[in-house]
Amino acid sequence: MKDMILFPEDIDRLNTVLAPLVTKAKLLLAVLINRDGRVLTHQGNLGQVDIVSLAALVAGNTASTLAIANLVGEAEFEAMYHQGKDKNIYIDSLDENTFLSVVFDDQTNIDRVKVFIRQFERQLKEAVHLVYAKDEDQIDLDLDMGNSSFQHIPQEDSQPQSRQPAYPPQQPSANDFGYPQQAQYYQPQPTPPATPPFGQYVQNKRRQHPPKVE
Amino acid sequence: MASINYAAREISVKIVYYGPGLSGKTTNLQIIHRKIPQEHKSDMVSLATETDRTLFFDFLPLDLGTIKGFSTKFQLYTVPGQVYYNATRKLVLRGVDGVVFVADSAADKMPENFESFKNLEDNLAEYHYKREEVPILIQYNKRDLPNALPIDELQRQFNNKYNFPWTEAVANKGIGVFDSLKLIGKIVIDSLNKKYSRLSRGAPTGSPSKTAAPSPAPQPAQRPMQPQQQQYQQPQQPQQQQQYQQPQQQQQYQQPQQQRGFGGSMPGGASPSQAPKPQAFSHSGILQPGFPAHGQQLRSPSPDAAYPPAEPQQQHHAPQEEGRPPVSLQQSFPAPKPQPSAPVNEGQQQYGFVNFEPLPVEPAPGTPPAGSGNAPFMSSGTPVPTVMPADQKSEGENAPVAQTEKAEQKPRVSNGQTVLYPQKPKAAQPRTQIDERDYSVYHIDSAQQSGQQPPSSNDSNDAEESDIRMPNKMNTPQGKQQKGFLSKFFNREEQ
Repeated sequence: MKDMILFPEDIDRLNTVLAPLVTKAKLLLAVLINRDGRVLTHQGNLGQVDIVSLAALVAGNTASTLAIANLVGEAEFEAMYHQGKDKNIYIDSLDENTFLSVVFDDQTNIDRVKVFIRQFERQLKEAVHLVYAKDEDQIDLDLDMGNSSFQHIPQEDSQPQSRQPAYPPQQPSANDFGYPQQAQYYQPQPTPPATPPFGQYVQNKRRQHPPKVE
Repeated sequence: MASINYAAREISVKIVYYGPGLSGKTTNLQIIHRKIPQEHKSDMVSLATETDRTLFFDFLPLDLGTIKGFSTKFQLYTVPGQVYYNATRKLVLRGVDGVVFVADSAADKMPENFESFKNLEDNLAEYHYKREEVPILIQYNKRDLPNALPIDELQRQFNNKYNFPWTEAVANKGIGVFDSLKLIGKIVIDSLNKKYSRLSRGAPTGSPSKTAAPSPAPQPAQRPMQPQQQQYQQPQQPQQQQQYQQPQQQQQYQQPQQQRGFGGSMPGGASPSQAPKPQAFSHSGILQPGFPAHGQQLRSPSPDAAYPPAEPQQQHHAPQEEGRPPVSLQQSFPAPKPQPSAPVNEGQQQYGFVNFEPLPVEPAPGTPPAGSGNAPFMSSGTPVPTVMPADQKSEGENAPVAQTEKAEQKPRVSNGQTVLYPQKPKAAQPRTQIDERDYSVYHIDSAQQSGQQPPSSNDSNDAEESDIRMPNKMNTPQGKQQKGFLSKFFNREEQ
């Protein structure tokens, strides 16, 4: 199974197809999702919704629906539609790796969405195909961590909070006595920018106050 | 498999917590979700039954920091542990980058551990994964149980065949959870590095699988409750890096830098080639982190087309400071013209680096400029050579003038953008004439650089007119729309 490698050109290529689709079909959100649950790119805005989680759940939904399709004798459902009270989701399978998931509300309707997705489907397929057509041997990526660790993992793992003794209490910090916690050192100020050439001032003054010709 | 996004500069990997039912996979994720700071995590999605048994999967996206300019996004999944949920487990395993197998340390749970691990191997085989593609970490959980087997016994029964890296944990108390996460994260990132780093790929010797899985070492019978991280050794490659460097390319790359500029030495005494300069590429042609990623550069780092491109090897002589003919302002503005056959350093020009050139050596502040008083600007335009050998006079216009007044009027070019004019003595000449001169010079230069015409004297009137002019609303489609109760009828054509 190949890795998904996205260059800036790939993102641009996908977005140039997705953006007019969102505008014309009046979608709230259009996401291109890998079958593994990863986001290729998205257009539109759905407020505070976490698109990564949305993609993972939609991918799981699609994968489980695949099992239903097999039960009824279908190889795969080409599209899925979840109708809600305010918002609806339409999922369209682009190829064996990718599908398009769009979210829309009552500004538009499902038929309009289907028509425009059909209109942009070929361009989307071409752009997605180029994402996976790369040769992995051409990639050069240095990820040598050395002895460093991940920055955002807390360090106090082996000593959980419950095991720390309640006594003795912590030593009062310097801030409790009204002193600043950190000494204020002299920090050199950045040098001011060089003054522009002298003629620029003269030119601006002349623009502001043109000489009056009597 | 992993997703590498050069546009957002992030790497996302998928880690699946696997194991038998009730072994603590979801507890691992809950502890991680509880302790990671809010700004580095999203909400945890848990599709569970009413009795808190995982129905489909749990999902927790994390941001674990940056590595060489790429932010690492980890997506942690769990699977349902029950035997009859195998279809769901298989779905979640799709595209996995690393597996944490959470084993139950209790003695009576060993058959379930074996069964679940066999199921993991079968599911990975159905996705046609090879064993070395998906790193597996074994986490011996529930170490605080009274009937927990000792680590030696667990290792002998469970991990004797493949000798996977392993950790100990008491997940519900938060012990060993982050050690497992750190270790599997490091293994996965190292495997990605091994796959995509050219230094690793071009390594002639050493099979990576052997270095990643060291030989089993005998463990003490009673070990303290500490994470065992020595099991996984990161392959070291200092010797391969030294082999890859090509000293000939390095010499070619630095050569045009020496020919630039005025040929003099830097004020500090160091030559320009010794000065530290920004480099977009290392000698092996790898794009260094922190520089903008252009797709064209990233796509073509094949060893045949190594950067820099081949250039004709010629000996170019830098123009001498003393023998250089006087250059006018326009010629010298963006950068001094190189020799016609001089190679152009494309990498630095393309990335817009500062082409550092040493400033011309100024005379000492006490000494007046030769040939005139304190007013170099406003003196007459005829250059007065101070030192002119007799044999150079016959060469005509292009004859190098040793030290003239014009050579001092020349602005000092510090980089391609700014012009530093020489300091004018204030009391030398009336101010208006100096202003006139600077005004014209400034406009010529800026117009040349931006490719625009210098503003004419009528521009002030035009600017005032354009400020007064307001947008006519009746010309816009919104302005034409009719208001009132018949608006729908009138505006129907527009929609």
